[in-house]
Amino acid sequence: MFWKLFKYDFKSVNKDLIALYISCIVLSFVVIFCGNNSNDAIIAAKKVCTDLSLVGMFFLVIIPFSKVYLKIRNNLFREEAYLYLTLPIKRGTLYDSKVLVSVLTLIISWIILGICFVNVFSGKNVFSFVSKLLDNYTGIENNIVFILTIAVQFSLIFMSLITGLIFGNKRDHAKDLFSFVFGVLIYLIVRLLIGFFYDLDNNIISIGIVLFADVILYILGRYVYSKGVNVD
Amino acid sequence: MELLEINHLTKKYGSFKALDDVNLKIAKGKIIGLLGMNGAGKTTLLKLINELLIPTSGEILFKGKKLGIESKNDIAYLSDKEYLDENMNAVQILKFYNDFYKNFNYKKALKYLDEFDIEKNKKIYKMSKGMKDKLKLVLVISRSASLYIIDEPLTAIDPITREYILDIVFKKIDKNSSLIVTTHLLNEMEKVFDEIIVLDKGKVVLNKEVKDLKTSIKSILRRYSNVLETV
Repeated sequence: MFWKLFKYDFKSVNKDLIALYISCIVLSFVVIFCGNNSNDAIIAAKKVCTDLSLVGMFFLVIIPFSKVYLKIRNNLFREEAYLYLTLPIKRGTLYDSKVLVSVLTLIISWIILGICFVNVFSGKNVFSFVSKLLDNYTGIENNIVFILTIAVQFSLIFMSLITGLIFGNKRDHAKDLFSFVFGVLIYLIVRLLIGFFYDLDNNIISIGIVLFADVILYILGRYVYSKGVNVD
Repeated sequence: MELLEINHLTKKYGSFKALDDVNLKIAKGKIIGLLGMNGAGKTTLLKLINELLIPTSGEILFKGKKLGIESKNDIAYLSDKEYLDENMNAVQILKFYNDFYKNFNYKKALKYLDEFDIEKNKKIYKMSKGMKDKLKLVLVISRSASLYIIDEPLTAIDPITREYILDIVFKKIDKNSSLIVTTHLLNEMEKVFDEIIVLDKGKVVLNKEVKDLKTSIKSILRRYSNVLETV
């Protein structure tokens, strides 16, 4: 049942995002293709594609994040919960599928964002950029740690908001407001707890700690959600 | 054993009691009208039976067991909410149901789509409210469930079509299955009920076989409201 549901959820979230993924990648490769050509038309085309790529990268941060958040909110707590919560599936399994789809979607969007970022800002395509980094081990290590640090910070924001959603929907009124408030509070508390024990520099240990906090929030959210919810 | 047994069920929203110590027994093979004014607690009761709400106290037993995966497979619930994935078309949503419900009859559902004039390849978000209602009804009646729960069916379509469709629905449902219907359309539904349950302010105020009633259902409901919203 889990994989059937996972297939539907993944398709439903990502089918609309494919157009965004493809257009961002194509635009960023057009920027590379235009190179340092002195032809006026090509310079103009490169400028347009660079601008559009920047807009696309902004959307790659905002749209997948909003989409997975809204998917969980609507499927598990709003009208679509009348469909999903009446399926012969355990609530925990529903939660697992939605969270896994969200995490994968965010990873895909961040990989595409990384590719576009390299293409647009390095002036070299992502493949030669990566091969250059591979030649310089200390460079790649720092870059990977930097990217992972940002990604896990987003994952912590996401898991805090989802946990906030679960607690907010245990209430009878003002569910959206309290979901957001609880989400922000959970994020701040987790950050304070982590900061109390460790200095959050960009290093592997801090990444590990944030991922550990994600897992704790996931287990807590799954447990509370499995106990039941009040759907509007 | 009763099909559905509700014992001392209470649901509070803050200090407001939406359901107050409700006790009910639903037997097999009955068509039950769940009636009451707006805010009487009908939808709250149905949502609790479908585990869409957490009860404040009390219990619900289905075939003698607590609610769970088995009851979800055996209860077919049609809500008046717009719960279908709007990006799917009718055939895709049928396949979705076929994938998850063991008791869903896909071929029968395809036949109903034709019978009820539902466009198979039209996206749900492009469908009219009436067509969506019909599609939701098809999804429910294409399942072989022990209990069908229908909350305000087909309110968005014209009375003649509605009567035609509901007539089919009542004929198609297995004689051993039970059906709980909430409706404001008493004129059309009154004649099919075996039993009525009337809720008022969260309490069961009447639970009787229709054949034992001395007055009409409408006149019973008048007692519970100054404004007769249901007719």
